[in-house]
Amino acid sequence: MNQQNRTHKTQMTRERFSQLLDAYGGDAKRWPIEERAAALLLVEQSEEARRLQQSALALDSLLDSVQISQPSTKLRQRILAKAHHHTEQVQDAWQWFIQWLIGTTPREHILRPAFALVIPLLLGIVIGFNLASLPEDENRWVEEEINLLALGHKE
Amino acid sequence: MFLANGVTAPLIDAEESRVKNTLDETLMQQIRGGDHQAFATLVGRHMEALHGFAQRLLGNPADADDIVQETFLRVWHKAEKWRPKSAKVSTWLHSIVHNLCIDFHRRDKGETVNIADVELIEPHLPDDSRQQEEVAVQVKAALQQIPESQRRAIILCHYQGMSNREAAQALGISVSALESLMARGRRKLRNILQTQVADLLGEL
Repeated sequence: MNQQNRTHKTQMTRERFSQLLDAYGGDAKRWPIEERAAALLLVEQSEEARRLQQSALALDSLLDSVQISQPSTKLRQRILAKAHHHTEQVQDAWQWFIQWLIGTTPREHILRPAFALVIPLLLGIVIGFNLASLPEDENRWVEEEINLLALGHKE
Repeated sequence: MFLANGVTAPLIDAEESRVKNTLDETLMQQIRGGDHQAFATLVGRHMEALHGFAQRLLGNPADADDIVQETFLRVWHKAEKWRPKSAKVSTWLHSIVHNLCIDFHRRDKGETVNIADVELIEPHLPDDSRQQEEVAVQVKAALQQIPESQRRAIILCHYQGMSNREAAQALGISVSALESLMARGRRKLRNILQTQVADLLGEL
C-alpha cells in the first residue's frame, strides 16, 4: 500500500483536527503527512473546521511577521579558514612526529623507531596481564565493552 | 580557496558542480576523508537555516554567528561521529546547534537582552510598516516569554520547516511530546498576544 492510499484512508475526527491546529497551526503543509489528506477533506466538508483553521492561520501570520538577520557575509569564510587552519596544524603535528621518529643521527635512526615499537608492546602486555587477573564475569563485561567500541555501537 | 594550484577553470567548474549536486550524506563521507570542497558545500547549503535557528533561539545574530561557526567546526573535527543511517544530516546539524544553544544559555544565564526593550532603529517608517514592526517586536517578545522547550519545538516546525519526526529527533523526544510542547507553546503565545496585538490588529 503506498503512502497516498494510506493517508486517504485515515479518519479525521474534529477532536484530532483541533489538536493538529493547536500543535502545527493552520498551514496544511506543516501538518503530519499521514493525516494531511484526511484533514484537508474535513476542511472541505465542514464550515466549523474552516473557521478553526482561519483562527490558527491568524497566529501563524503573526509568527511569520518576525524577521531575522542574515548571517554576516564573512561568516562562511571565517568557518572555512578555521577548518583549513586546523588541518594545517594537524599536518604540522604529524610532520613533527615523523621527523622525530626518523631522527637526525644514525644512532637515532635505529633507537627512536625501536622505542616507538616497544611502547605499544609494553602497553599490550600490561593490559593483557590486567585482563587475565580480573574475575571471569568482569572479564566478559570488559570484552563486551571492547567489542562494542570496536563495532562503533558505543560513544 | 582550497583547490590545488594549477587546476584549470573548466575542471574547477566541473568539480564544483559535481559537489554541489551531491547528497548531504555523500558530502559527509567526503568530509570524513578531509575533503575541504565538500565541507565548503555543506557550509553553504546549511549555514543560513542553522543561523536562523540559532538566532531565533538566542534572539541575537552575533551569538548565532558564534554558534554556527562552532557547529561547523565540530562537524569538521568530528565528522566520524556522524552515523549515515541514524538521522538526516540537516537534523543532526540542528541537534548540534540546539545543544550548543543550551550550553550557551547555561553559561550566559541572567545576561539575556529583553527584546521588548530593544528600540526600533528606523524612526520614520510609513504607518503600515511601523505597525508591522510593532507587531513583530511584540511577537518576538512573546516568543521569548514562553518556556524554552516550547519555543524550540515551535521554531523547528514553524520556522525551520521540519517535519514532526525530524523535529522530534533533533530535540531527542517523541512525536507526541513534540505535539504537546507545540500546542502548549502556541496556546501561551495566543494568550500573550491576545491583549498586546489586539490593539494593533483587532481580534486574534
